[in-house]
Amino acid sequence: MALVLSGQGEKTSPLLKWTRKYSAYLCYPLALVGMLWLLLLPSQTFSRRAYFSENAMMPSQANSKFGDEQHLTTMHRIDTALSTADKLSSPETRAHALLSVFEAIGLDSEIQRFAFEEVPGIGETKGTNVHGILRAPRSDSVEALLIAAAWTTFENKTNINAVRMMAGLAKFASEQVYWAKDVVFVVTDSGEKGIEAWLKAYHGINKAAPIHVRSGILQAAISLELPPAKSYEGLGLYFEGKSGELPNLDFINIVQHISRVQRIPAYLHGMEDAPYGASFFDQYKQSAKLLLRQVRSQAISLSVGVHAPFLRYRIDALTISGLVPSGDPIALQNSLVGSSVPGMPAPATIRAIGRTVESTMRSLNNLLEHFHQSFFFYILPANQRYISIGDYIPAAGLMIASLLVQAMHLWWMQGSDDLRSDSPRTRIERMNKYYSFLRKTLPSSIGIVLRVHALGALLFAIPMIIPQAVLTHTTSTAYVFTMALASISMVLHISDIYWAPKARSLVDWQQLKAIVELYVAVTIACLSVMNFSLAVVMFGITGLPLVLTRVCSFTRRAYRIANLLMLLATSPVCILALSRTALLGLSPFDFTSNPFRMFLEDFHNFSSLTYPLLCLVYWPVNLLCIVVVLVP
Amino acid sequence: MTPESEKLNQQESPEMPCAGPKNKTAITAAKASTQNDTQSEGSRLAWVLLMGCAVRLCAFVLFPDLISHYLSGCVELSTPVTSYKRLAEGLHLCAHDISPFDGGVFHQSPLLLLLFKAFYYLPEFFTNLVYVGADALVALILAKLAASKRIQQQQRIQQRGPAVPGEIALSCSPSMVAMLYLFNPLSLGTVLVRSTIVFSHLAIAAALLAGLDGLANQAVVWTAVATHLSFYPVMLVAPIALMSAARSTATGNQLKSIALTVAKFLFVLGAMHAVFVALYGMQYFTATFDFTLRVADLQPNVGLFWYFFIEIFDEFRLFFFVVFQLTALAFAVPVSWRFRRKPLFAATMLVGIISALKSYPAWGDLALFLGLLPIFEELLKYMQYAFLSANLLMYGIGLAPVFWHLWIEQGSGNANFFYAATLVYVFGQITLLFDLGSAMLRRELDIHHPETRARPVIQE
Repeated sequence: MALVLSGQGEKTSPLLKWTRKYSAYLCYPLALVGMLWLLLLPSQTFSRRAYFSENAMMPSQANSKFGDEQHLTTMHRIDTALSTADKLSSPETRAHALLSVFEAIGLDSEIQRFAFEEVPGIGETKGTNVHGILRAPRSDSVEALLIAAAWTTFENKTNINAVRMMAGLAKFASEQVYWAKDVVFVVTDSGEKGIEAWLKAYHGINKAAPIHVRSGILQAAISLELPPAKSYEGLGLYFEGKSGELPNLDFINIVQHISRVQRIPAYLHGMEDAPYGASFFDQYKQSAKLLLRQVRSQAISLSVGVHAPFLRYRIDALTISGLVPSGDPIALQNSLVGSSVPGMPAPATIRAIGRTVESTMRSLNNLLEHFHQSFFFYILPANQRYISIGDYIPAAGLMIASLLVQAMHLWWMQGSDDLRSDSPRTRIERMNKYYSFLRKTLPSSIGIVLRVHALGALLFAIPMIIPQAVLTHTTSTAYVFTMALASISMVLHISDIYWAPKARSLVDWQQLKAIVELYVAVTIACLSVMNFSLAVVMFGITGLPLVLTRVCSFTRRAYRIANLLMLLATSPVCILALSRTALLGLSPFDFTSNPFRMFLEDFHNFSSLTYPLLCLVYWPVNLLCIVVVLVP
Repeated sequence: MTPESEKLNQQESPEMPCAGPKNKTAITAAKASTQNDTQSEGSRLAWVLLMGCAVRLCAFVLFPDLISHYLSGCVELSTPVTSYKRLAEGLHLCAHDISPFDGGVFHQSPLLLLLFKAFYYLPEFFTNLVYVGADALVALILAKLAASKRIQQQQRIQQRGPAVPGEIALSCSPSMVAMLYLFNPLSLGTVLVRSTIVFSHLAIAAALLAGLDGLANQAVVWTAVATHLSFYPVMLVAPIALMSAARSTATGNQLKSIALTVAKFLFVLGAMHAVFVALYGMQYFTATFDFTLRVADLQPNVGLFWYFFIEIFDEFRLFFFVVFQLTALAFAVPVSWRFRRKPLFAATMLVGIISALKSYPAWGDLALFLGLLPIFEELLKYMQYAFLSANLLMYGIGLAPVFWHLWIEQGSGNANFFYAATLVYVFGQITLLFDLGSAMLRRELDIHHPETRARPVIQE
């Protein structure tokens, strides 16, 4: 306990004094080692080969039989139904066409018409979902599996191939007798939000657009995304959820295994591994690219795939998308011509993908319980390799430790040096002095923290109260800049209060920084288990600037300016502007789209964490750092 | 008898030590300034109470969905023995002339049923008002405790000079104590969830105030009520008995008064239990007293019991519940004996021990302990590892809802995650208790052994 004594200086052993003085320098190596650890992750030091933990699944042990003429005919039926009804135009006609196909197969089907708000208070967008349920022939509908598709793919092409595949699979599944669980087929026209509305209705939460045809608990879900093409050279697997949730690793492993058996290999995020004999550098680069892709999906999770809403409901889900080879005839045709229904893929491709999905559903059918055997917390650096939590969380632990060590040091070093000096005084005097110092400065520190967080709370709450603030992308950009100006005035206000010599003694900036560091450390610790990538990103934009900021009474002007520049560079406005390139591929000066609004949308529709963290942690902490740098 | 008890006895004597004219004017001037101070203190206290009530009422009115859907389900804030939903179930059964203990849902005291019987027929707003009022009353009583203690301290200083010369920060102002309790997010959460632990806290605080002010019978009755509402305040009989024993002078009298207090307590408690057993039958006993003792419902909470009791086999259950309950209850007599000159401090330590080691704790118990801490402001400067205990508590309180989400809602985690966060929380509380105890010991050292004041203290 001796090391964590307060700064009373009761024990004045030289070792303790030396530790206290130089513990400031411990935090930098800790943060550095933490970041180096992250850099080590793409190399194969920490990764292990993936394996199946759930013995019940027995992937691809049964013969797969999809691909008969019958199934192909059913797949054609969709096209016929759609072309007779006015060419894919109105959602209602599409929905009815699909409903008739499902009913012809013999599924219990229903159309759900729902409306959702993109941001709270702003106009409603309508959508339509169609779902059909294949009842298991010999069991009661206690559990269900699900196959989902959207009408458009991520790149805004038509996803008609996936809907056709779904119809073919439905026809195939309706002929089999081995189903122990119901199979639900859902098609939505609003992407992730449509599936979210369907899930809410399925679980009884959505009173405005209820579903009456239901089955049991959903055990697992697969979402299909097949752009128009003649054949696919591989499959892409997307698995992150809206708030960084991950499905069980078993699910990913069996899909990869089965797809390899069916000769249409599935790659994580569509990225192949570096070839077998590649140099260390190439393999590192490829792993790093895949990991960065995962970080982007997990931390920011803006458009991760139609499977994402399922993960919030404890339903393991994946998106399987087709990788179109360049030069594919149908793909080229479709990008040139507009609205005609693209041709079907080659039968071999259909068979491969269909058998992959069929085998996967067969394995899922074998499960007696939810996926529970394999890992829930992992990072995937390469196909069929994984990094378990014990190997990546020490990085977060070291980064949090650096914040904590610096907080401890600042807490010890708060106040002027004579609080800790060895001048011959009684213990009582020293305690009195230290306590009266704390009593004087702690309320002001807490007051400043609360004030800045009140600004953050305003930033958070105003778009919900005054929807016009985020009406369009342009107004939300204007809103962000207005709040930035308000923040600057808050900084000026605080500096105004504490500039007068009398008031200057009321606040100790080291103490304030220590309090903020403790609070950020707790936040990052809580985040690191829920969403590791977001925790790392938060450390990068919030924690690291905190560690690097030096309380200015002790530094020269050059340092002050350098610190200020760094803080402005990592400020929310700047990062949001720069991230447009990374997230959306747009120029930083394009004001017609706004990550802030997108985060708010995600928060409103999916309760994802990025928006609250941005407003309530990142923005205030950045402001507090600027205060600490500028004011003294 | 040690000098300290002599001084305590002298405190009650009406005569002041001889004071010259200079001291007299100083004393009267001090009295006048204290009167002014008292008035401004009073108005500050009123403001603080008003703001506290306003915040709670605003939260009730502005966020009813958040409270009823999310907060009420938080196991960290409400437990099977304090949950509002179960109270509502009991009231409903009562209103339909069925015994509230039928059905195994309601495990709280019939006193609460009596209190809320009328409010069952009124809109929910009035129930919220009762809870807000109860919390404000707790804050008021804590403030009065601080004021009483302050007056006693000032009298002592005027009579015999300061305990430790040159000492500052002797007592926290009552309004500050009330503010620290009311604006503690833990107590705010407890009121918003409408956990009935608020009434147990009210009874504990009233017992302590009555004991400090010398109203022995009132103190005993309030302690009995607190024990009846939640079982563990039975430990507080020891400091309450010591408080009333401090009023009498000779040793024989002291022992007699302790025995008398305990006897009065047992009589009142027994009478309450007997009345309710007569009204509701043995079902009442099994559902409340027996339920808390043998930890019948293993719903996860921020305590230590549930995880353990899930794992053990039935034949060892009796042994383990005796061990666990003894761990909590065994501290009553030793702690009170060690701090017998300062029974209010012993009571605070026991409140902290209850909060850490009881069978169904919640964050509200910690709120009461943290509310009682500022009353001993003279000890806060002796605390040595406040940084550590504050951090542990922050991590325990922050990680518990995260791990709950991962375990129950997301399905990625499991019970071990949540229990680990709980362990950190309890460890933080225990560290705080250790720190507080050692602070008191150091202060006593400074008071009684002036020759050590210039030398550093090393604690092995």
